[in-house]
Amino acid sequence: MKGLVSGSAVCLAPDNGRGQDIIWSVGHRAGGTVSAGGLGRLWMDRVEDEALVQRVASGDERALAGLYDRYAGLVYGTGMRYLRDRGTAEELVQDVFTSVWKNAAGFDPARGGFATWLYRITRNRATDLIRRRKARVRTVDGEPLVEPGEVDPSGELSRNFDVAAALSRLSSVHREVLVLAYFHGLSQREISDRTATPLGTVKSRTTAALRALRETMSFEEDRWSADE
Amino acid sequence: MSEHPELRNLLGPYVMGTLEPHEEREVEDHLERCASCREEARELRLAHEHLAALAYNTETPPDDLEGRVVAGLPRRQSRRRIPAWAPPAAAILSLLAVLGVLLTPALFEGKALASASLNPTDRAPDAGGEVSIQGTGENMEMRLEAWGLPPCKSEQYYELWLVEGHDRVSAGSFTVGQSGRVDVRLNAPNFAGSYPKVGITAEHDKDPRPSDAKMLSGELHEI
Repeated sequence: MKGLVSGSAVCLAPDNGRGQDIIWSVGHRAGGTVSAGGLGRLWMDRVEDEALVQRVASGDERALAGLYDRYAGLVYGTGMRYLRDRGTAEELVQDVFTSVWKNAAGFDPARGGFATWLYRITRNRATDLIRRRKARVRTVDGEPLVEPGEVDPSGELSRNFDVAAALSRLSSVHREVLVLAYFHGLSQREISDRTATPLGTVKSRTTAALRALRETMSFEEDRWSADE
Repeated sequence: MSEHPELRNLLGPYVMGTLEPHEEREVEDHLERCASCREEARELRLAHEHLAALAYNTETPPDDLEGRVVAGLPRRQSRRRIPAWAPPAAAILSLLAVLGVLLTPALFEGKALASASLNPTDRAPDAGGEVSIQGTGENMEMRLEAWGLPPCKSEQYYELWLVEGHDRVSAGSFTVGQSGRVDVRLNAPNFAGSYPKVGITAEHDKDPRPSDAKMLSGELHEI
């Protein structure tokens, strides 16, 4: 696996154990290299989602890129999971982030965090794309050939967005060990080597990072009942 | 219980299943005796499971997709950075400063998040200043102290900008009297601290864009 760890950001071509690259968080660029744009937006590593949305509302494309870095992998994964088609999954990502761009000024943090808002957009757009496909794929007597699946019937996807938001709020050192372990599949020793950090420190830091993540996560199981 | 802190630090890798076998046995022996560590392990396991689920459901989009997203964005104008009422408001602000009725620091809660020392340009070689950003949540403030600025003439005012690359966002405007000094607090967008630089220009019209008359500039540093 090629890549580098620099400062507060991890820049790698990660692997999720399924032989697929993952893009995750600010500075993580598929292909193992950091583009000029990637370096230019490392500062956003410290900026909360909600502040980035405000910048998007003012027309800042780089703030949108910061949010893309954090969430595009999850939106794309959602598309691949529920739409089961690479092209449609890409269409979902385009639709979702275009919607963020167009509607950022209307984002109201009092109604929930950015991840909650983005989850709703993603779920609604995925549902639209499923319905559209359903309309195209019909038998001769007009019945759907395949009953389209419901998006996120178990609520797992909403928790994914919550966890992604919680991860983005961790300190960079905590996020780094978790990203390397979970998204790049590195062992504790490999993280130690990669980050030039004593193994014992990596272990205790991993524990502290999981604890911080747990404290940051806040799941509201019934919040979708008042969905748009 | 001298082993407790050491073993507690291993609970993260333990719930992830990444400990060496002998470490895992030590942790499990300890968990049988320590209720607080059992509870901690339970909490960490929840975080681990949620994180593992997130990793499983995340996939890397094609490299060129972000470019396609950006290329497809509808164009729009940057927001107006200085409203028409800004110059009169700046005059009122200046008057309040003269009268000494500006809010005192004690009224402003929240720690300073970032600060910048302002360096002069050729237009005002004796000028200097400090900017600090403080506050929490929606109640962000920028405090500006500056000195050595040429006194404002009629219709003239200064404007404080948040600067990043070619991007400029106004943080407010103000005027300066014969003293050449100013000490004001301006409402700041809550992302103000994310900009790398600040600058002050001299303005004389309602054009929302900054003029070329740069007076002071400095780099914002997190505190």
